[in-house]
Amino acid sequence: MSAATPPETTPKWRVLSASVRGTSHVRTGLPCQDSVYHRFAANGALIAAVADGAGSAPLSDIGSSIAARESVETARTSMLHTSADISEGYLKAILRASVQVARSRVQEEARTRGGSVRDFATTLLLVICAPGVIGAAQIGDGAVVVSDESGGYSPFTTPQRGEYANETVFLVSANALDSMQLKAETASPARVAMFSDGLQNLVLDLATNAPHAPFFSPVFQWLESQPDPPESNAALEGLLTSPRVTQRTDDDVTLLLASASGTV
Amino acid sequence: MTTTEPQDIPEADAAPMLAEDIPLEDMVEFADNPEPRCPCVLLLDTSISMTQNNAIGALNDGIRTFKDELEKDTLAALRVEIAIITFGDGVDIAQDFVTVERFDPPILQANGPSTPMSQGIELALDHIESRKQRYRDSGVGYYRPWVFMITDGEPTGETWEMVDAATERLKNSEEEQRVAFFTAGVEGANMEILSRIVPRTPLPLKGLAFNELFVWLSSSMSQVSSSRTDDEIKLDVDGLKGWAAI
Repeated sequence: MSAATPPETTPKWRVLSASVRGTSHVRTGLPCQDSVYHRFAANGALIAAVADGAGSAPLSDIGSSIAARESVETARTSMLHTSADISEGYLKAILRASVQVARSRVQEEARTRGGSVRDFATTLLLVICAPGVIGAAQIGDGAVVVSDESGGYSPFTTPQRGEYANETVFLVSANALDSMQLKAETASPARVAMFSDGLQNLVLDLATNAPHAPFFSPVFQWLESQPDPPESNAALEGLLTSPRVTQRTDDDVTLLLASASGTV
Repeated sequence: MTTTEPQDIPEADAAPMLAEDIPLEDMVEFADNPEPRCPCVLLLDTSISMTQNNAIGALNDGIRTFKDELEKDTLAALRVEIAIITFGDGVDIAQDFVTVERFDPPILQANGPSTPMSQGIELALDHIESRKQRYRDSGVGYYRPWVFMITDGEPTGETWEMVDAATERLKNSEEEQRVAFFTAGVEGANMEILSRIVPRTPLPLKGLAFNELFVWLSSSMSQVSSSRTDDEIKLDVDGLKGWAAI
């Protein structure tokens, strides 16, 4: 290995993501309104976001794209001079600030275009996997799943819903920051998955939010068998557009998989 | 996949399949969650005046159309649950909540001596709340319930206190987003009285355009059952013009 290799404690992440248009969006001519974006911080931390634009909001594809990109870039900038060692409190502060910046950027975009901020309604999930610590911020539905040491999976965040199945909170909602899930833990999960609500009914037990291991284990094993960096996300897109998925959801579907397994 | 592969290679001779030859979707299993439910109550006037111009016959045909239309949408067919409550000969649950597949539309008779509308409204709201409780008890998600009332008259055979109480309860239920309550008035309906009772503007039905009404209601339920929102219901106004005189 070359001298440029990060310190031994920094896991190297293998990341693959896909975001596909739902069949109802195809039918009604809507674009894919989900967005997914990830970068690595200077200290090797993985920073990833998934944002799901509301179908009822005409510019939510722009909203979700701004939210995902701006939250990740803001977190990356604030971590430019961060050492490998980050506390949970510091990580939470970075996450909160990054979501706030993303929210402001979406509001600015609405002002610039002279539209209503509601037209840009989107959820936002932001994850930072730094050496020895993982954190997430989430507004709205979708979820983050992590592997545990015993080889199982647990929900790191859970879908945020109202009384009704189709009710959620958006980044631009008045109560967004108050109802945000914000969490950091001293842990180094080898596998992390993030997904939008289009997939949550298929990969979580909704009564308990328990991740469905017969879904996650094979996809992670598959990811870990791929070249690093993965050459294409065609297979992942194939999964998300397969009849087994589209028969169960007509919404846009986004999945991001990150594995540090065997690459440390 | 190649199509030239012989299908009858004995297992021992077959080369072990490489992981990349198997589509990813065939490697995974999905969670089996119950579909969220989208309850819809048809609250129907079966007073004897509904026999005029055979409105009741057209209504029965319309309900059949409702089932047929919902069946065309696979997700809606899994999610929408229909119940029918009638007011005329007292109030009656003519059909308890069923999914579209199990819905066998009853043939309604219009032989009621009066129009106990407020009791019908109360029963519909009660029935929805107990259905929600059932969903919660069994861990099934649900959408905001819809009630669709169809009448050709105004409340009769009940006191104004009863009507006022139902009016007040309906107003609160709408404000608290416990229900979305829509009303169509068949010819002869007292639209002025109706608009004092129901919070959303009641819509006059064009002639006996029940088929158009139920096609619209079906497509509205399809939309609801695949929508996501943090606010108000959006109606398909163009479709609405197909049956409502607006």
